[in-house]
Amino acid sequence: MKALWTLTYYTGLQFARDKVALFWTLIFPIVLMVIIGSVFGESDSASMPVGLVVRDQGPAGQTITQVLEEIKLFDLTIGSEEDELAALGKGDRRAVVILPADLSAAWQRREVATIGVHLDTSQQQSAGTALSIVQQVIEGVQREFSQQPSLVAVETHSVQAERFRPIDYIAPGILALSVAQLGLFGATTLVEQRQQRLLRRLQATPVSRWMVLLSNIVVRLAIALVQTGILLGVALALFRIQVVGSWPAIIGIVVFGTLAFIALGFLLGALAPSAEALIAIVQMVNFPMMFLSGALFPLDFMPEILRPVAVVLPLTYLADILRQVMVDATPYATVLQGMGALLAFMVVSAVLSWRFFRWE
Amino acid sequence: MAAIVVENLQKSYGDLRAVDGLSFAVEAGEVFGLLGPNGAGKTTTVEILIGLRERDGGRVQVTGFDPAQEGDAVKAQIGVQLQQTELFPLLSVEEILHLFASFYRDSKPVDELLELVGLQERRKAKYRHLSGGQKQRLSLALTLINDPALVFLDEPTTGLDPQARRALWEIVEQMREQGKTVLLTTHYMEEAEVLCQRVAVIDHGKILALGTPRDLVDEFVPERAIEIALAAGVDASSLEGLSGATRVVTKNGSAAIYTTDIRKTMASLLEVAGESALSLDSLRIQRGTLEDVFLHLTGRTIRE
Repeated sequence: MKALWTLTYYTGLQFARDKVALFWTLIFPIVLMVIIGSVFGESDSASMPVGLVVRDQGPAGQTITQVLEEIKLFDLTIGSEEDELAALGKGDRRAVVILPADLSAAWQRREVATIGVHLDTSQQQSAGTALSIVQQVIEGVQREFSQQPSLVAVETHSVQAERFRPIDYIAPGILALSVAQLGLFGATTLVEQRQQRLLRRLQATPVSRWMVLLSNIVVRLAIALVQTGILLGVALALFRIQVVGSWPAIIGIVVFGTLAFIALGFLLGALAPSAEALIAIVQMVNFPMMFLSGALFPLDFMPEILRPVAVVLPLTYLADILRQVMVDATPYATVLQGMGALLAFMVVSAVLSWRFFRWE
Repeated sequence: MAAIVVENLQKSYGDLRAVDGLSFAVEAGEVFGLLGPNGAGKTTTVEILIGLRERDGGRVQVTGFDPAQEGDAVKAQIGVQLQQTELFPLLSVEEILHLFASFYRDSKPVDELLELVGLQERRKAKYRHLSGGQKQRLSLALTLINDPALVFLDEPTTGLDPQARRALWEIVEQMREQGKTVLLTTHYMEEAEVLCQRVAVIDHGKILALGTPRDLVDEFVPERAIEIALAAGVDASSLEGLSGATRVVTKNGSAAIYTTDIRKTMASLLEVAGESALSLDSLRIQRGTLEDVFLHLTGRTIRE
């Protein structure tokens, strides 16, 4: 036990003295969040111009119009299709929603009605946000209609949309990304020590491999928690994100996610012949994952052809769970499904890395 | 009781027989050297003895335990220095000592170890700022941290300058004075001659000769060389006829007269010197070295 604590303490001390590692784990995620947060922060404060064309004279058209008008993020203009599309073309609208003439009739017959949404693709982030809000609103209204034909206020469905801002989406995503990176790089210390024959030297003492491994994992977990604290602190103070989930749940997910990614990182460490190779491999995994998962922008946003990629990326699930728990965002998969996916990644990686990791 | 017993030790890597039937015993309190070129099987032997590598065959006992069966018992009682090991770059000398101390049930005071290896003034220095010699001295201090009776040193002075090498030799001398048993590997003949009571000369995983450095030289290179300076113009041919001389080698203004009977040849040389202008001012008698032993046994020098 004495050995485990001392090993953990000195492993942590080494990390605390490694300025480069400190920058990438503690400073960089904050810089990233502040940059992305500030860029989209502006489109936050100024409301988002959205055009609405209502051809449906029935109750569905009225309700949807009402709900969209209530959304504070939207600066809603109701007009003709021609005018609105022209405005979109000039960059005066982020999105234009067209409700077809037979909308109410179709819903009453319980048939599918096509609603046209035109997006300004030059403003991907806000257009994506607009799209997801519009989708939620319309789906919500439609659900009300198919349950009971009479008009009912749909405020419960609009709650989410009102609170939802890009930074609310981005902050959990960056937290997930940071945790993932911390884990993926988790084996670099051990691989370096293997390369320098230090692991061999440790094996010539009575200290066990388990202790060496465990001390590394404990230190990574501690850093993950510090990182989470700092990131959320900045997000709360600077961007006033509203955390709806419980802190124990968030911490639990961060710990779980860190462990899953450490397992994956050790698998990469088992495959890499040297520390330099490991860093290259991690970057090869990290960069595509950053953009192909839903960590930084919504999955709806990706070309259809790339979406299956997101399904197999663990970061997609970690970001998704964190977002659900932190800001109650629309789930991509349920929390249990996401945890299940992460657990599967963790177990498979852990087994493979234990099988293939070389100590010399 | 023997500190180490090795009988018919075998280890192969694929087709390569790295250790091919080694047998030797190291007595408690002696400094024992495994001497041989790189690739002779010295490191493999050490790694098997300290429980880092499994053997293919043979019997091994280290401090009474079989390292393959009771590795932890062996590891707790020995000190080990491995070749080309880098320690924790961002930790200081004393931090590394404290860390290693935590691996053992009992440990020696850090101050005492620092003094022994002469690193008191560098105790706060980060490992990455140490010189090569200082790093080696720290790793020697680490071998002593659990106050072991038996210490393994694998190529302790490789890559060091002569001054740093001498500093390490002194530490090994102190280990011997403290009654520790030391098994060291080296490919430096001089190191083996200075430090080791007994030496096993190894090549291709086999022991070619085993004994004290003096006995090995006497057995395998019984010739002595009488070296004298030759003034310009002095004819060395008269030396060829010296009684007992086997051959004479002249170069750079000196002559080396090889002989197996030093008394006869010296008497004969004094006689010749008395009758000629031959100067004996810088006369030296050279014994053979372990280098000559190795050359004799293998037909090549150790660093070829």
